[in-house]
Amino acid sequence: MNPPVPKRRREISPDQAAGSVAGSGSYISDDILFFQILILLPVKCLVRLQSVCKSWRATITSTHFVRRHLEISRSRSSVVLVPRKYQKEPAKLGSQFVNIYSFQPGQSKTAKLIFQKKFYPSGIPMFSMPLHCDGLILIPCKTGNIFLCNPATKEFVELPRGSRNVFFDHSFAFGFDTLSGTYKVARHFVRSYVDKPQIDGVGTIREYSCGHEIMTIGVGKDAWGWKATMDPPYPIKARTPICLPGFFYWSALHSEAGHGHGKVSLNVILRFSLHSETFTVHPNPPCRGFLSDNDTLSDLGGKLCYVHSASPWEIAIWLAEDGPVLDWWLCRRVRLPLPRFLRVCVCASADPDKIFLSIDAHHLFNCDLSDGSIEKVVDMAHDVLYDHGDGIKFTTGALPIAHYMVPFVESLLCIAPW
Amino acid sequence: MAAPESGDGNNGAARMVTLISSDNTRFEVEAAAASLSQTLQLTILDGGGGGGDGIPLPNVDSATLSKVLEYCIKHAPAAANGGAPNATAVDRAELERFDNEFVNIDQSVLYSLIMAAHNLEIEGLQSLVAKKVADMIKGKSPMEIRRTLGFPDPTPEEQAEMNAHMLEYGWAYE
Repeated sequence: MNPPVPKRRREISPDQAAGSVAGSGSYISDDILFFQILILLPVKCLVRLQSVCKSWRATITSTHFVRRHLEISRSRSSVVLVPRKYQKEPAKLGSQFVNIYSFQPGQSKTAKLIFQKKFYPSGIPMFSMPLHCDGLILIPCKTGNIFLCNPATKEFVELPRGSRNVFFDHSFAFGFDTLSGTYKVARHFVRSYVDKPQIDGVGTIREYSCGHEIMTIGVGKDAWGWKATMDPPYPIKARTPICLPGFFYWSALHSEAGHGHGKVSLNVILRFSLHSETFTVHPNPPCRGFLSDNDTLSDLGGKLCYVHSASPWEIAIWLAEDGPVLDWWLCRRVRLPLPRFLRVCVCASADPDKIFLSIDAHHLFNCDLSDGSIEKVVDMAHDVLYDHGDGIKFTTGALPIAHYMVPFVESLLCIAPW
Repeated sequence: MAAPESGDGNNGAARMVTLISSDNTRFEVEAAAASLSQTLQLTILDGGGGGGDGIPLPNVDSATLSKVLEYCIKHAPAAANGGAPNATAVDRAELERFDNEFVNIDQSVLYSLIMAAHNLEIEGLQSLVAKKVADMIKGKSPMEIRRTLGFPDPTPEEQAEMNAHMLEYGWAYE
């Protein structure tokens, strides 16, 4: 008698389903169709379904649908590998591709190509560790070129160049501003510097004029550009910052004293709030006063983490409790199974007690935080089979390649919606 | 306040409630099974549905309601345990087997089921059917979906848009 009343405009009747006419009154309301059924589908399928009709396209691309889809997608989070060739002179263009591979560490040694961008004929400049947020991957080049990519929708966009940096090395931050619900990229730059004689008359001390600017992603075309923020209180180091919801954490140079081999630097951590667009200054963890080339700032399951490596065979993992001040505590000391050459990066895994250790972006291990035990996952250079799905399969072997491992969730987020 | 004749199922026979479908068929079912529905649970806790009264469900026809109750009766014991540790792997495997078979039905019945599960707020049934329908949609082309859902044939303009989309996003159609 009274079939369920559809909540919204369109009644969808399956009566004409091939060969299965069920008689009267079967409807699915749009709300259920989109937000309980279609929301479960992978991105590739949803891209295809955008052409079913105009109203489907409008709903699937709506902010509400995209966000709900992302929430569900998070339960299927994974990692991607982004290999990068080493170049002696980073200013030179090198690799002709950016390849992004899906990877299941510990389950399979095959990395499947999910996205490829060709840079013909010139190539892409050398990039450093890619950053991920909600399905978008930011590829920061040392030259200041910067690319943002959604491998699931295949959108790949070069962001505009920011203000001039008198130094060569660039680094960028990328994350979600919980208050405005937008994605933001930040960069730092040095406008100028002067070398002034030290008070004791021996050697010089360098004084910098530094800037910092941000750009909002996914909004209108008129907002597509860099906007200056307040200047950072100390010069920011060109190292990959850590981006947690609402905040970017940069390492900065607080002061320098002495000269030559006796030179002592003191670093601090600058926390940039995406909401207030201001910096607060926080100390390095007590283990080391400066971010050495062998240490890394990291994101470990949403917490700010400092990986201190005092010698090639060991690391100490420090975590900071967030709050008005960063409260550092030593989480675990780990003896490495093989010596690191440069750095060890950490990355959370699906198991909260276990993390991944990537030694020199080359050797991948699993580390149990409860007892510090280590298990080999894969030697990325010799054991990971990069598979392009078209018959091309290779391992990189001894080539000088960094195998960057980046967390990833599939999302429908659009970078340049016009 | 308490319904005296029901005895709240403390000893002996379990408390029964009566549900009445839109086409006036009466279904007698254990209160525990009907309580898988968040909507019904409130009424039943208030002592409703017992005796000769019955709870009318004007949005659910008898064919759908009997299917919904089949699900509820099967899942009630596990739900009563709250997924407790004494649910063995065998029990879980049996429920999984039941679920797989349960949704192996005609599309139109699936649609009626998900609407009923939504109205009655039976979470497990909602997600079970949603997942099944999503799997059915997954491999289909936009044109097949239009046909399945009974959309009229696309106008020439719509057809041109569909072709353009397919050209631009060829990879999504592979």
